[in-house]
Amino acid sequence: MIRTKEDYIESLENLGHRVYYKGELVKDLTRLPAFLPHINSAAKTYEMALQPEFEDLLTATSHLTGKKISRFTHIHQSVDDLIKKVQMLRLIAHETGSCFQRCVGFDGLNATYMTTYDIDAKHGTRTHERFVDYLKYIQGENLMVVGGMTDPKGDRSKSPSQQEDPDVFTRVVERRSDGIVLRGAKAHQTGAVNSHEILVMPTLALRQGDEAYAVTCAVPLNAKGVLLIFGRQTNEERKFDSRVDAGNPDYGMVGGEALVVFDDVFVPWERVFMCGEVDFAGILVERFATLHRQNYGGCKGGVSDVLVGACGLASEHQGTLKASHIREKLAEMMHLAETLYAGSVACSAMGRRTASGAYYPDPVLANCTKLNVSRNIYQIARLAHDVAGGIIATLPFESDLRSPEIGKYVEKYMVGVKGVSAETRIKILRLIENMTGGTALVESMHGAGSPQAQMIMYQRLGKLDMKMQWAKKLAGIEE
Amino acid sequence: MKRVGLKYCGGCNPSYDRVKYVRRIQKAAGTRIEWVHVEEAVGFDVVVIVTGCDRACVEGIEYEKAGLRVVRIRHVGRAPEEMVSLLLDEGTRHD
Repeated sequence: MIRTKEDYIESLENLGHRVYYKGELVKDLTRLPAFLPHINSAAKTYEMALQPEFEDLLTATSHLTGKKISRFTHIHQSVDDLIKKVQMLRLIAHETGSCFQRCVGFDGLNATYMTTYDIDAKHGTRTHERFVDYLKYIQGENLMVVGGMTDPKGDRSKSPSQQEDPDVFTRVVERRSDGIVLRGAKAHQTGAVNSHEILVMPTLALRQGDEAYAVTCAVPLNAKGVLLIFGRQTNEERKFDSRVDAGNPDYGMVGGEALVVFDDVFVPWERVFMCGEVDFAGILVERFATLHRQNYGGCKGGVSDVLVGACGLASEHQGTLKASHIREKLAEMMHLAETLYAGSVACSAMGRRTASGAYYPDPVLANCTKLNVSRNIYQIARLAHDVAGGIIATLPFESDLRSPEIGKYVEKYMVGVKGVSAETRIKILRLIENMTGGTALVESMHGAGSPQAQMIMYQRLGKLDMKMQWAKKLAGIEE
Repeated sequence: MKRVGLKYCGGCNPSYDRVKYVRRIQKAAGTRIEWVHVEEAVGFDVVVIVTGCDRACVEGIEYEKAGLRVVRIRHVGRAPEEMVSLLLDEGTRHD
């Protein structure tokens, strides 16, 4: 069982999964600077669970075994559990200032738990029992699971079975007596290179004719035929070059995403939780999306707290902290962050019990939260750039600061108020740069579904008919 | 030496550094108090519940029901030495 950070890193060293970085197979995954920040972020979830001052949020009691487990493997048993999830995400973000990746698998486990229960109720199958066995294994070993939903999708105007290349949506290519064979890929997989398992789920609602794509199954990332290709991030090379220039050297930027390829991967039946039930693909996707959108005011709220703090420090270093317009902008940033957090807490507080017994957030409010994230985080970043100044775009290299020849000039001209060194000032400005650019922003836009997916949810669940009735009644219209 | 149980809330958005404040109290207490994790120990009659804000997500009512004396910390309100005196005293107190 994985308990400590060291256990976790050792488990990755022993996993032997095939990860590619810049075209080459990675041999020493836990020592490659490109992956270290992401490993450290995920390791925080193990470390903090063992700290008395955090364990109340980082751990839970398994409803299956009665044992104390990582909350990231827990099935929500109450509204309080839903709220604690959001509180936990904000908390960890304060420690990492970045994505810690485990929420995706957490949401996949919860969505699959409630959906397999419903599949069995309708079809008389025994998928829920199989899934519960798998869940006990994950809880007992405290494994990190990737929630594998997003398919590459190819031509977006066509359904999975209409694609020129049928593999651009992950599918079952063979059914055997002992299991299935999986082919395809999952894109943008957060934390995949430093996870143990991937929980494959359909990427969209499916119709008759798309049965091969209605597949949910759990695959160890070291299974034969699985390979991972790491995605290049903004300022990727800084992870190798310089701790100061990296901005957040220990925890990096967002989650470290990868393309996970399934090149005819065998999956035994005990790890298959949906196979051909097209009538449940849509509901599983919606549940996963809701559970994942619920998170964003927690983690992004916490990351924004750190960013507000960084901007406060940058202002202090530059002697502008007492300026009224700076105070106003910092307050505006806090307002935007708390608005996100309020959404996550609200959708949790309005959560409900599903037939499976697992609790589920309010989908409209979770949706609202994520849509606000796609807007507010950009606005928060804009204010951060405003407060920090153009200096974040023109700072010299760390190597300039360290140079025996020109370092004295960097120290002389990059210095702020008395008592604050150039290096201290540069470190905070680099942190702001790290948290507000490129990959960090795009993740806020498209993680947990693009804004258009959220607009579609309003069209479906926004109760426009009721709103029209209320308006008619007040206007005195009876026809 | 008095045995005191220690229980923190999760600390999602605290308004003070909970761990730092508790360390100050522990330092002030020195050898007069043995601090134990509430879930891993028995044989104590006082529990300190440390929460980061007034929301106080951990209430500690179960410890009161078990007949234990509960001292709650929700902010940095007392000097460490004063807290130590409180913990060594009798009777339920709220900070």
